[in-house]
Amino acid sequence: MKNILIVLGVIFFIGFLIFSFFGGTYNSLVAEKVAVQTQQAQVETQLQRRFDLVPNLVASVKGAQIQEQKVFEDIANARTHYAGVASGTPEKIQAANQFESALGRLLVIVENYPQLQSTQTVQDLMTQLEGAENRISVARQRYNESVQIYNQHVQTFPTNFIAGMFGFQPLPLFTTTTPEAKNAPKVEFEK
Amino acid sequence: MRRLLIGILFFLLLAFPAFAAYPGYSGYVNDFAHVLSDQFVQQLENKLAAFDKKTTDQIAVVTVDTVQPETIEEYTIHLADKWKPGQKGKDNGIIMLFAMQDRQMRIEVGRGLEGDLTDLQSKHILDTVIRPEFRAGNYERGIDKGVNAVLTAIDPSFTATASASSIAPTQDNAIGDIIFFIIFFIIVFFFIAFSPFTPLGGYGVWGIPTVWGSGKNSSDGFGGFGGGGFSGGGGSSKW
Repeated sequence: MKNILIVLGVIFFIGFLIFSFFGGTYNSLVAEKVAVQTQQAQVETQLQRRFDLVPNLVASVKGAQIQEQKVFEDIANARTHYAGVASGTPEKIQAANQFESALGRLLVIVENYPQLQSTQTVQDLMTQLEGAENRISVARQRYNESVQIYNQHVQTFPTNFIAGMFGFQPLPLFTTTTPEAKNAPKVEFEK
Repeated sequence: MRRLLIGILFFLLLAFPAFAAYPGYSGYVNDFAHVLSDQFVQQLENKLAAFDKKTTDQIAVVTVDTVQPETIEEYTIHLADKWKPGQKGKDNGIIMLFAMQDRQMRIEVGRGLEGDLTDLQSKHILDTVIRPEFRAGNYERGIDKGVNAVLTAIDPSFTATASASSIAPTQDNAIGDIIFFIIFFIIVFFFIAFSPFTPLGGYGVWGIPTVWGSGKNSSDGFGGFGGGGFSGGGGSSKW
């Protein structure tokens, strides 16, 4: 009788350990995933902020009678494309990068037309765009940091068993594909 | 075991330079590049302390030699994440950073102040208020004018002349001094009562200047930064 009680006690104890291990791990995975989603929403908020600025810039460039139809089209296309893909997927990141490269080309145009660059509106837009860019890069960095914590947890032993059981997948990092994005812009002094 | 300890030591040595890259703060004004006079630093410190007391907005002024190998944006946001000026939840902190050798500067605006001090305003202050003075080599005047412009943007009722007087901090000093004297006499009493071998004069007098200085600092109202959050607002410029 006594032996049975001891065995039962041990079984309960082990059961409790397993339960708390599963529960604890599951909960921390959920918490980390929520953190990633929050950061991702943050990135998308900042991207949206930039999207809203760009039409003004496009309007100023068009207003200066500059015929660069290709760039205007690319920007418009990239913008619709971005709006069309589901958030939190690698495609979304790709779409954001595509928009970025189109925007990069628009900025080159602005730089190449001194009369455009000298207007106060364009100057202000460029400053606001800089601010948007900076916020995006900060949000991106924080997103990547939270993804790193989550991914590491999902893929390492023994959490990976539980992650596999409940369908926690590793998430994509927000990496920029454009090579110029990695280099700091060069400082050019006015002649 | 020994190998493990050596490993830990090695790791600490490796990790150390990473921390050294972002210095800790000693007040609102941190002149790591040593371009400001003590008198100016104290004056600015008082002004920012008074502003903090009035609005709870915390503004840090920082000079460094260089932000290399990072960009000024990266360096400033990392510093902001480490120092966290502003109140937790209100996120009302600002960092004004000047990289003297790089000839670059940035105003990093906390999330809660982005509406009061927009990117455009920050850039405008850097370009039109600070840059001309810096180009002429007037770093103190440039920083002073820049800080005034920032304070006015956040709190329109702020006026540069009113801030020059340091009435509020002196009142505090009196309380700080009284507390200090009480503590000081307790310590002196302790020494007299319990250590028959300590010659009174030397030890007591030696203790005064250091404790005096630190007591005065803390009573200026600077109790450390409060945990404000940043998300990359503000502007950068060069001179």
